[in-house]
Amino acid sequence: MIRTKPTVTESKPASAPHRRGGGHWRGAAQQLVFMAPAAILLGVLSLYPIYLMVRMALSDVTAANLRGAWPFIGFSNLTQTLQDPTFRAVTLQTLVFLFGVLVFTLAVGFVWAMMLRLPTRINYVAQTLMVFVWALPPVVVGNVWSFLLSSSGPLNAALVAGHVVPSPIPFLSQPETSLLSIAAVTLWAGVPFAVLVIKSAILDIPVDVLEAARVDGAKPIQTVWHIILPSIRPTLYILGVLSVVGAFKGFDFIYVMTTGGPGASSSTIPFLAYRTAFKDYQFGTAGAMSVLAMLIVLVLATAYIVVVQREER
Amino acid sequence: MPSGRTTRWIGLFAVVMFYAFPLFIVLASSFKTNADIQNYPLELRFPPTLEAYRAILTPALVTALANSAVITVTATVTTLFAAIPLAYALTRMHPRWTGVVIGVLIALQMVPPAISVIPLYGLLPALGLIGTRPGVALSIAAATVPYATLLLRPFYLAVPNEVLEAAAVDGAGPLRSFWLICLPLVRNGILVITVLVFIGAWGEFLFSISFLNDQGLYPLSVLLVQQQGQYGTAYNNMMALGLIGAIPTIILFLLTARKLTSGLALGAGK
Repeated sequence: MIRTKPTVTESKPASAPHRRGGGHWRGAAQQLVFMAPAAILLGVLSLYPIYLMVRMALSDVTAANLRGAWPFIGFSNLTQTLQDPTFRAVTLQTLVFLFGVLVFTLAVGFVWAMMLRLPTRINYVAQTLMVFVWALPPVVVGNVWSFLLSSSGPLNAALVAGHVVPSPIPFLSQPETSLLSIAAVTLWAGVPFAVLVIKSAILDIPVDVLEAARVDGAKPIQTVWHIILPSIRPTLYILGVLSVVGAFKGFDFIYVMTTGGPGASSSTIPFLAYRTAFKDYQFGTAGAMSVLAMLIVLVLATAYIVVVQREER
Repeated sequence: MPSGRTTRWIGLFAVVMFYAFPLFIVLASSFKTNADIQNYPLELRFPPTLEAYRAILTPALVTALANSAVITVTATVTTLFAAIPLAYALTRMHPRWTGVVIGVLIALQMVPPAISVIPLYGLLPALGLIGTRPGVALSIAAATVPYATLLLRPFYLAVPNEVLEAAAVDGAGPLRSFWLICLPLVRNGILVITVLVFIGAWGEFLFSISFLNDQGLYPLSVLLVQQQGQYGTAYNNMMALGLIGAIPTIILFLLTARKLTSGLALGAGK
């Protein structure tokens, strides 16, 4: 899994005559040509908006003056947001949500990867099915599960008919289960990716190591604990970060299935920010929430970079 | 390796059911009447009807499909146009600040779209892009380029150094190396990201619903979201529409499944 970094030599070939001075400048210009389309696109529509977001957070912006001037009000949006009980509740929900998705993605992903790692026909069918679900438009998945989890839908029908519960559970319209439902669907749609990646990592483990363990009389569970898991640890770390990022970015399921409600019981910080901007038209407050969300993004990005650097040691 | 064969079979069966059963119920429901769904949601023997499909096949649907196509193709082409050369530059041209750029891409990739939509809503009017499909498409592209670029890197890095060195010795500059050597060799990577970007853009609805106002410009994904509440809860219509919305994914998938699976593993796991 160690990727060799491209060496410097391949960009300084022996017979290239114009390396110094003019060649160097020309190199930079050519680099710019290759990077220009992305630089313009990202500069205008990704980076500049972040600057605008910060300005919004520090200004009094509502739908009324969005296209006009934004009066500067310092940190009051931020302090107000941090003291808002709804925001605090949603922050806690978000952390719980992220943690739950992380743990279950890795745990279930690992177990299923182990089950599916041999190249049999049924394994192929199972994986294809799972990747197909992963590739479906989230809107479709959200609609599907809105139907499946509805009070008059199949799941409740099965639960009631099987006498598991006396009456249907309103999964999506009661605060106790709304966030859980979102988490469950997020996992259903997201685990296939984890299974693929983990399976790949498991199959990378040299067969001799596993053979040696078997010959030495190691029980399967010991092999898993002492050999397989440690070998795939970098993959699990990276996948872990990516899963948390994916869950944090999740929007479609919440919008389609519960619109963050009832109340804000199934909202994450990003969804709450969106709602504050587009339903309450409080762009300044939404900006403040966004800035706080960006702090989380920075933490995740740093975690990811650190893990990748460590692996490419 | 763990537990016996029977347990493995039970586990596998559970996995397949966990994914196949919901999809099957959806398929079946799209051929039921709404009353049948309400009363017998689990029933797999029922008089099939095309009532739901007839109800949703309207001119509005055709318009929505056309809008989806326009937005998706524009977004995909723009993303490719930006990401393919950028990834080449980052892996094969070694600009001074490669590390910084990659770090920025990683961070940008992690920004929730629900967040980026907020300042964009203030910016797009100034650019004359609000309420337009290109505005949506470009926003999608900007949000996707970091992901596409990072996913392409391993493919470029896999191009053998010797081949590039030989070309350089023969006097090829970066442009020729890129066009004649790297591009053909990273074909698989380009295929993978094209499919992924296409599928992602096809399903995108946040930017569409935020930046567009005209019902006649909405893509299919917005129509899908509008199913809830607009038709009350005509679940059979909703399931039928969802299946139609999934068709491009199904087609692309059937055509590229193997390459996609291995490409994903290469790009993301390694």
